[in-house]
Amino acid sequence: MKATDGATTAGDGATRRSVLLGVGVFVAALLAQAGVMLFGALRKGQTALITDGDGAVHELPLNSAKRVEITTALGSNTVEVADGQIRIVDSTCKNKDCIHQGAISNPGQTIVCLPNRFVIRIKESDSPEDNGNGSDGNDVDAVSG
Amino acid sequence: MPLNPTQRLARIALLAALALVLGYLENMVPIPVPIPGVRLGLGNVCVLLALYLLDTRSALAVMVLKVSISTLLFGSPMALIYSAAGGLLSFGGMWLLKRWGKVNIVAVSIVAAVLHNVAQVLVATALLATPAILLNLPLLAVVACATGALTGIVAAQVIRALSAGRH
Repeated sequence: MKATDGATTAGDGATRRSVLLGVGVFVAALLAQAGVMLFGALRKGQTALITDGDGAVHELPLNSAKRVEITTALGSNTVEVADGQIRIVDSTCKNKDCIHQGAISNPGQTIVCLPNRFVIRIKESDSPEDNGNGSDGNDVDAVSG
Repeated sequence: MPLNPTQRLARIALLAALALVLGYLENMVPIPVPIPGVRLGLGNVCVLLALYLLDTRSALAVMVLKVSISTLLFGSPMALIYSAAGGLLSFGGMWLLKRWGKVNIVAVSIVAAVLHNVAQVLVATALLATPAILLNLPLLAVVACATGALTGIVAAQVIRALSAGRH
């Protein structure tokens, strides 16, 4: 195989530009992640919305510990609510990615099991101040309905 | 010395086979990060090598072979949509940056890795009709910067070793 000239260095100033581009992408991603975490920390979620493989939506309040198994034609997921958090403790899927995603508790956070088309997300609590708040327009759950 | 069509075909097949093996080995060694969808993306080293050592069409061939055969061997039809979207968008990014010619292969690889995640998160968001999935993208992109840099460095070293070995 023949490497063309400058295959890896791409000429003068390329190293500086490459570092700038790489660092720029990295910093942009970091800032976006900081925004996501800040956004989640500002709100306290109390109810999990679970969409199963059939498209049915289950509501699960996070204030009482429980264990629920949800089965569809695509497979079965067992979720556990404890300490105001929800996580998937068992799944029939192959890679168990959904179990490895751990527990979530803040609005906007999700656990996704792709093979079973199983999605858990945290909804806003239905407290009066949240409902009366006009600034909810940029809220993820408002967008997703 | 330019490659004749047979040599070119052989190199494409070689790189595609290498990409499949690397992808398979990579699946056997889990990365200790509690984020789903994080992969080293070593298979992309082969696409980068094809792009820099052969030509655009060969690189596209390596990418398409990698995606389609790995889905046939290890994946589900669902996985095909995700890896095809990731592969095509990252290939587009690599091709544009390589054509621009003003950044090195490591930067090209970083952008490719990030675009791979962008495509997969977008597809997941669309398929599952859950916009909140987009919130996973920033963290995936942060990790992709690291994995992309790593695979880019591997590709750069391979190119260096190959060109040094010919003298």
